[in-house]
Amino acid sequence: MKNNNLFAALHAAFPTDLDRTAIETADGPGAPLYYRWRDLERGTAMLANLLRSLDLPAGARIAVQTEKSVEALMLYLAVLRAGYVYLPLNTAYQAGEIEYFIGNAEPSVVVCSGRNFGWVSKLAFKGGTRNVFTLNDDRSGSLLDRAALMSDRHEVAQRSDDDLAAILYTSGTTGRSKGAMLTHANLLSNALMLKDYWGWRADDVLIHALPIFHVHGLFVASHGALLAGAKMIWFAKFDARKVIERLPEATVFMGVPTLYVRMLAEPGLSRQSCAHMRLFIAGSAPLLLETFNEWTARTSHTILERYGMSETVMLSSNPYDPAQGERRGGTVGLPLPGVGLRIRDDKGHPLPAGEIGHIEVKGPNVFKGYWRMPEKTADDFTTDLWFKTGDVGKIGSDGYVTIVGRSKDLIISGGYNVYPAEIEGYVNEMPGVAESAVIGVPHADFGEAVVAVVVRKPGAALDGATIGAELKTQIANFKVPKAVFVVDDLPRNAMGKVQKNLLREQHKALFTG
Amino acid sequence: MSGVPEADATDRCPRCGGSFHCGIDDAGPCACTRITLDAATQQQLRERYAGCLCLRCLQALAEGAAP
Repeated sequence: MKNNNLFAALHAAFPTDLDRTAIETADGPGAPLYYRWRDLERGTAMLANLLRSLDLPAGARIAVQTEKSVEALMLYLAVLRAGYVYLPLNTAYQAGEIEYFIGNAEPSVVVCSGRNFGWVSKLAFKGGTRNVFTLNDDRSGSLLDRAALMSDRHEVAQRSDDDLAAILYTSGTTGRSKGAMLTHANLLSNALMLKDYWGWRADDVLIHALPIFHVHGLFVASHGALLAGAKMIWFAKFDARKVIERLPEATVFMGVPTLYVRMLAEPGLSRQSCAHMRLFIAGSAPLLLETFNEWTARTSHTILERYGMSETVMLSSNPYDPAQGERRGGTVGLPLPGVGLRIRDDKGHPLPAGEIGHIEVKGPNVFKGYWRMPEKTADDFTTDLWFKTGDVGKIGSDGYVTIVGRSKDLIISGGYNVYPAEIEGYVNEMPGVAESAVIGVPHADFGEAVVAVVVRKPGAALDGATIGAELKTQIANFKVPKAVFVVDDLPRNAMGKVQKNLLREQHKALFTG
Repeated sequence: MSGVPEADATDRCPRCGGSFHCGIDDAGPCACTRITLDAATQQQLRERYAGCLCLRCLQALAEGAAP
């Protein structure tokens, strides 16, 4: 019987010579460290055996909030291998967020950094999780200590297409995060298609400088290299100058637009430093045409922009193969093979080419639904089962997709999605706060910065610095407003709705001078 | 219709079904800020309609029409 476990496909793509280098670390403790394909094979087997020894229920969730390391990647692969469900958590998440995720996902295992063990384990045990391990970025921690006692032989767990492989929490338009349930078939179908579409080769070398707690770094980048049997140069943290120094050894780089902006600020970026490169890919946030053009002028490479999201993995891409078309700045390219992408008006009626409307998608890559939120899932699918992305865009007569807007209010800061409703929820619970409005304003480095406008209750003493400091203890730093204004009231229209457009206009030059 | 050219009528009023342009995402204040509705009416509208109403409907409500 065919095993449709994603790990089985990744494993089958390991090169014949398992002593070749699979991953070379470029920074972090002990760098450079060289991990062979054999190390990935053995490490994932030992970790999978450890998970199996815990006698977890079928479909158990393994929640992981650790610093980026090769061992953390191995843990992801081991969770797949053992047939459980991987639940990556942003390392920036604070206690308020972690408590929610544990309560909502009810993971059987939580893995955290040793320095966070005190508070994370308290939340985990309170939430009913029985197993909490630590994993640090220097190859230490109780997870590896226990795994070292396990056999390095493990038969990959049998999984079907529809079994869950991962749950990715995405911020919600109306409040708390939703867990997008991705199956083995969702991830594998997308990875196999991208392998062909982007021309992955065994002699590719990927500079992996993205976090591994979201779609871009964990799935798109890692799966691409693993499925090709290609080497990765592994950066735990992005450093523009150091990445540029390694470009002559590499062929593929993936980054959010902020990374490209930072690399452009480095004098070392040149045609010569990029001469060995085959492909630069951008996503997770809109790539400004200015960045796209400046990159081409400096490096002679045309960035390939693509479009995707946690619920769907990748949906569209500018072509890699020139025979399929040009890479066009300001667009996210063509719908990927096997992906249906259509534009609908407010009533759900089809719109002709070139007209702007709601983007809906369908395909083997589209997720199964939101974890334990059947009503929200039903709301986000049409009656004919197309997923409503929440983005607004158009498809040209030549098939190129352009995103012209997005879910109302969504802020994308440094490639991370921030939904104002979530931040407003935290602010509104603070003493002395009557209400608040959170907006995004232009920021040269992050694309957008989060700003909060807070209305005080009559007689309350509030100041922006205190609100910001309090938020830092509750939510991830990228969500914390970079400026907080305390006001007497918010601008509203006749319906009583807050006119955030006016607040955006008022504060638009805050970070751009 | 609420007095805007068809080309600018980007939205549909959920009360009367007519097309209009909602200014909630424009750079300037919405045209409807000239109309004042009491808090109870605003609450009723928010419960009944997901989107904004056209100027003509808002004007009618301000003059006492039922939501």
